[in-house]
Amino acid sequence: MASDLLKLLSLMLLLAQPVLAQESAPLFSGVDLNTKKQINLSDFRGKVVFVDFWASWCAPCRASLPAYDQMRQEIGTEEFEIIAINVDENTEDGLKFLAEHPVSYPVLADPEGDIGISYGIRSLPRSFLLDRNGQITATYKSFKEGDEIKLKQEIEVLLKQ
Amino acid sequence: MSFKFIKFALLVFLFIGMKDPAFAATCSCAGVPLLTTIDTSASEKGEFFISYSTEFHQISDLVSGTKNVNDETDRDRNSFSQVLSASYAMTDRWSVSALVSYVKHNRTIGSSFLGKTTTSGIGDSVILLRYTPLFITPFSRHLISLGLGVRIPTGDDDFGDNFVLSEDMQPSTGAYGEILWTSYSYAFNQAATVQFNTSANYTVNEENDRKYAFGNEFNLFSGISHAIGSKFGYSAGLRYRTTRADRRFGFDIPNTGGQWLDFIPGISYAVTNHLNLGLSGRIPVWRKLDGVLQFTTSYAYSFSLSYGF
Amino acid sequence: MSSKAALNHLSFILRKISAGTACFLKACLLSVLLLPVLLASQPVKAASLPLSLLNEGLNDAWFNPETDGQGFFVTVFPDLGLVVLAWFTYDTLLPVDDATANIGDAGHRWLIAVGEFDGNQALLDIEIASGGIFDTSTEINRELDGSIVLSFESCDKGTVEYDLISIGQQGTVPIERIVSDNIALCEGLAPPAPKTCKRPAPDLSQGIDNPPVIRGAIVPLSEVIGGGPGPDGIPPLETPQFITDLSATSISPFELVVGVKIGDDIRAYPYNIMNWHEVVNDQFSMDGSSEHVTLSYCPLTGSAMLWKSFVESTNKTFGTSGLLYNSNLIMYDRETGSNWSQMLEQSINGPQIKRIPDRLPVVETSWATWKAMYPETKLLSERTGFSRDYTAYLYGSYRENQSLLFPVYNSNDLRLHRKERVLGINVGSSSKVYPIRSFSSQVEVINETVGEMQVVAAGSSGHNFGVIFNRELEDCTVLDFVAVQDSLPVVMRDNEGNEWDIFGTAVSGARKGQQLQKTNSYIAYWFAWTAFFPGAQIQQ
Repeated sequence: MASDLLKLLSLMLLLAQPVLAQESAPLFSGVDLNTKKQINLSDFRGKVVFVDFWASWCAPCRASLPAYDQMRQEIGTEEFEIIAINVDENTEDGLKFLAEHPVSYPVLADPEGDIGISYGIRSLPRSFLLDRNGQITATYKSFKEGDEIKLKQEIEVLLKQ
Repeated sequence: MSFKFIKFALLVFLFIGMKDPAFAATCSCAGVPLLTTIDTSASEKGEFFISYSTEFHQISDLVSGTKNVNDETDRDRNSFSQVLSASYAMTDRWSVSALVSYVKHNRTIGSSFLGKTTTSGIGDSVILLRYTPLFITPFSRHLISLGLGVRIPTGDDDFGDNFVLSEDMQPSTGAYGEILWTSYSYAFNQAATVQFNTSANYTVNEENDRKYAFGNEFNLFSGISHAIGSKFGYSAGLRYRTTRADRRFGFDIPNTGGQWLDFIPGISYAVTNHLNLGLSGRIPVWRKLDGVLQFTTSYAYSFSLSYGF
Repeated sequence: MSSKAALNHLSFILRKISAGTACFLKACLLSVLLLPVLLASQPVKAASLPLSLLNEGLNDAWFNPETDGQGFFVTVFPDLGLVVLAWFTYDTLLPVDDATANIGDAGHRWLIAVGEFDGNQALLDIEIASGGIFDTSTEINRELDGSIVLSFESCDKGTVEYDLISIGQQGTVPIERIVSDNIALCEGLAPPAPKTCKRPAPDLSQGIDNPPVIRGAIVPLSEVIGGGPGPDGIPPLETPQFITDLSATSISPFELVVGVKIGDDIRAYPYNIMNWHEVVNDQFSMDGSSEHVTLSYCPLTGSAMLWKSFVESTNKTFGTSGLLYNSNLIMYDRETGSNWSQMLEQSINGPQIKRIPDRLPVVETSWATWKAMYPETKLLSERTGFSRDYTAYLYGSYRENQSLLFPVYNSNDLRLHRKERVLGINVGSSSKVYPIRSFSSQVEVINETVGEMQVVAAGSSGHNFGVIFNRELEDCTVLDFVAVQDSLPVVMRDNEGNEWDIFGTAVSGARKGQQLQKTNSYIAYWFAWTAFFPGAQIQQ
């Protein structure tokens, strides 16, 4: 009970400060559900990173994963990476989806919402584009088919920097 | 599933936080549909939300206390209201909403030798400031919201064919009102596809130029909503409403005021991620009206369209 | 003296007249011959007052100036009720040259006529006497020969209207006195002329006379407000049913009723039903035919009126307009759609604007009092065809508190409690109210003047009624009244000994059947009376 109340209070306080563009992306780390390796955002400094929050129950999210995967393959991973954050309360649900629709980029589990809260996630899908310095340059609040084309262009601009 | 869609689904249901006319079948009557689309609000900073809604309200039930009474006067009384509202989120916590109404009243008494009476015009407007300290996210199942608003008599309250019709037939109340509002929602799952919502509002009504004040009003709504897939949703809820007697010169007007419990079903459809349609109804379940005899709601139904960007 | 004895006496007089005919003739002849001399010596007199009853002041010599040498002698016997007329005249033709007469002219003729008089007229039988000789006792023959109608329009002018059978001639002779000495005697003996004073015509309008019309109405339109229910939303009763078996009713004895009495048709309309319907379109038999009437009662102003329908209307009914003026019922007539203010008792707009309906009296009192006064009364039935709880009062504590449900003029005149029931009267620009509670518990009567009208107010706080009438009769007689106790519906007695009932009808005495003139008065709540008629005096 007390911990729930504390969590509620922290939500209220933390959510008072949404993450905005041109701010440093909050750092996070976790275990890749695919490779079981430790993933730290800080390790990707120098690369353009696309951080994508998703859940198995989010229909646009489900549509976005294959599109992003395809986009990643086209761009390549030398200077770009996608890190997906699965926020399913029950990670098994996320794993089940990945088993059916695997992606090649790191997927971290965030069932408690520690990472999501730090990014001020209010709804899904929600994605952030980080430049090489870890600054958030854009925020995306939805996904529909074809959005990845425009996203790719924006990534390529950052890659040229 | 876009939370916008879910939020809109709620909007449709909470839209029926309207005041329905308490109608006395005596020399004094009261009641003007005051549209308080209180839950029309954008929620994320920079977000805009506009909506258009209409309601048809049939007010022909004759009630004494809790019992229906035959109306041998063959009365047909209804109101058709249109509301345009807009809201803007100044921050993720604070938003402001404004709505303006256009109201048309019709009254025909079948047993009378005189014909139909109709009035129409701009009604009242509402400006509401809303503060949401807690909202439903994938990480939080709770939403708490508080609002403070003012109702502004932006329309005419002295309609009449040479004479001045009673307050219940006027498009506008002709008086200011102060509104307190609060809302709580709980999401049963992380996707928030099933939610419980309860909201309450209290309105203090001031006097108009003819020293008439509608009774202060309290509304409490509770209901469940369910979003199916990414397009459809439905809901069901109960709304309890109580009003104090209307007053003139500070004296209670007999046969005004009472308590109502209505069943409010609704369905919604997301045309796109931004555009939503909604249909809902209001079906009286129970009422206990003050005084000896009043006309009150038979039923109401509404349609709404909203767009968020 | 019996008529037969009188006639015998008259015959004696006639015999005496006949016996003294010569002297009589001489006297009259002298009068007639001296007429020009007499006339010359008399000043011309102005025409005297109209005469309504023959009297002995008419006993005189009369003539028609156009017929010189002829005349009449009139004798009125007031105690016998008889008139004797002697007519001294001539034959219809001049006598032949060889006609002879020892005294006077062969053409002289005289007629005697006798009969009873009634008012200023007498019907006389002409008698022709024959067989007489001058100053000699002889057997006289008398024959009737027609009739004369003798009339006097004044003490100095009359007419002789004759019909002589023997000659088959009729005619009219205007007559006047030869001398005017007895005119004063005649006028002194004449009964006083009937009063020609005219009681002032009643002021029909409750409000100001001929009010101005602004925007098509005689009241400010901005002050006419919809009450809420709409036209006929408070449904009038169109075919009211009545109960005659009063033992079957459960109405409280204290319930106020509006009582109507038209001829022998007596009906009571209780407030508990009127509160819900406000208007009853009913029919009564009047003067042998069925007449439509409309009874209205406004529960917000506590006022009741009864109006006759308009003769020219096809639809003779009224409805409730749903509008109010000074919180008072506005009706509309279903013939023209015009609106009518109940308390102004006048059309306020529409084709009938300013028209004042023909009003009939009502008496508002408790059911117990009404039933005691008129046990044969009928009672309006609750079987109205509407689903209403007639045991419930529609307006909460309105009757007792100071609340106003609608804007009214002069609302701050709190000289009385707003809901004090008052009997109010308007006379011209004067207005006065009598709080019902200010009357004694028994019947109390007040004789006074309101404006230019002499009025009598009768009321009782115990019996809960108040009525007010004009106590000046048509002939300008002003009656003074005292209360009569324990005799309802009789409420008062006048100084002539006549007793009058609660509807202002004399029920005993010489004036039985007469009706006191109604006034512009009715009962209403104080706030309503002072709203419509500000500045009213209050009976203390």
